Amino acid sequence: MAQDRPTAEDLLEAVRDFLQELLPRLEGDLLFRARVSMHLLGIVAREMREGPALDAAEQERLRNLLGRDGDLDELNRTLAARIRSGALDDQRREVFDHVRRTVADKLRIVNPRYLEEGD
Amino acid sequence: MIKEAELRDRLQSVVCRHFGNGSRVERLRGAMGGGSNRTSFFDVVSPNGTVVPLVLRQETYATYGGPYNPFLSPEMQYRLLRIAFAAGVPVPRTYFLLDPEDGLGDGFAMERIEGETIPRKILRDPSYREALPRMAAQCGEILGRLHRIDASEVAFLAGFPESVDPIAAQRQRLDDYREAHPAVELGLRWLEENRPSASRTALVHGDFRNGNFIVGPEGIRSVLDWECCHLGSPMEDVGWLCVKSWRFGVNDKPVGGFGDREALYEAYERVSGHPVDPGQVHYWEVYGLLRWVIFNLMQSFGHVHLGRRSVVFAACGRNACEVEYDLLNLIDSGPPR
Repeated sequence: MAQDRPTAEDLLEAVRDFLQELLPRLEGDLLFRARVSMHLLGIVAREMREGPALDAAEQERLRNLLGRDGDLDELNRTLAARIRSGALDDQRREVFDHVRRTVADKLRIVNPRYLEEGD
Repeated sequence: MIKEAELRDRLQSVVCRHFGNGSRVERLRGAMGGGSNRTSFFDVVSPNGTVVPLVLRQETYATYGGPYNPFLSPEMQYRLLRIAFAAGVPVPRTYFLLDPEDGLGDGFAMERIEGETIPRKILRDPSYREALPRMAAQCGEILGRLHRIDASEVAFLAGFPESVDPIAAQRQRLDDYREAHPAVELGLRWLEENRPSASRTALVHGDFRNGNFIVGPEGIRSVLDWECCHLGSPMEDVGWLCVKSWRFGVNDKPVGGFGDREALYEAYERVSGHPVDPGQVHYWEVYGLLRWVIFNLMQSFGHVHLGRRSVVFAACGRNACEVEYDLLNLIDSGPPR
């Protein structure tokens, strides 16, 4: 290990617990922003835990879909451009399923409960 | 923004100018909204004791209508409020526009209306329980009246990107924020391929939804936030109202989490004199989800690139994926049966 304890995840949890403690003393805009802040800390914690594996899976899917390599940013720019130009029109279902899967994975990091709610 | 003491002094001068020298500013408070805009509440008390409750809106954006601030200037909002008021749309009465010499920037004063604006409170607080079943029909009536306004009265809106071509406007904004969003690209393709045949052009509110109503126990009292108005298909407003994001978790009530489509459509048809095509509403709901993704990206862009630092704006950038998810599902599932 490169850093001393507590772990980075533990630090996030400590800050979240503190914000939770503050909540009853806050109101209006400050209360709202404190809750948003807790939400952001939760995102960071989930991203640290699950992000790398989800990114790797996305990158693999993009390589297969686009037939080229690159970092995630480049691959997504290519995908976006090809969708816009119509170059992927004969692979619509495959593209759609990939994009929905990728968005669902983003949701796993940002708000996993949203995936459970359904319609 | 200037400090509150200076605001009070300058506002007092403005009020004397508009209401007469004996008028006093009292109970100045609120000053909500950080950064470049601010909302304050105050009363104007006349020598005989009459009290006029007002809201002061101030904005200090350098320009309006561009990629970093697509909203209308206060002067245009003021004009639109007056046009809507004259047409019987429930909006606050306007009182005065700020003059540059007032030293308070751009802005205007309007009537202050009491009531609740926060969606979760409107949907959960017992005070509004009896209002909820009426509100979809009220929305239909309000939009019906709004869309009867002659488009020639608001010709000054014709040059804005959303008036010219709403799909192109969203595509341009997406490009301005310089992030790749394949889900939005899929949405843009769908919208291009399914464009409805030309419909009539009306004044579109542009942000008519749960969150922009002042509500009392009897229902909707007032419609706020006239910053996004443009010319377009009236079904844009109907679709936006039904976007899933504005149901705030009450997903079995498609209209704002409080009402049913049938009530909305029936009232709209009755007041506007025009039929509602559910297929068109579906189209503009898809468009609405895409547009809402892009508004979130705009807030995020402000946080990341424009120094408009805020946890709320930061969250917008991440929360956009919820809306992308809804967008993809709606495209895939088609209109409700």
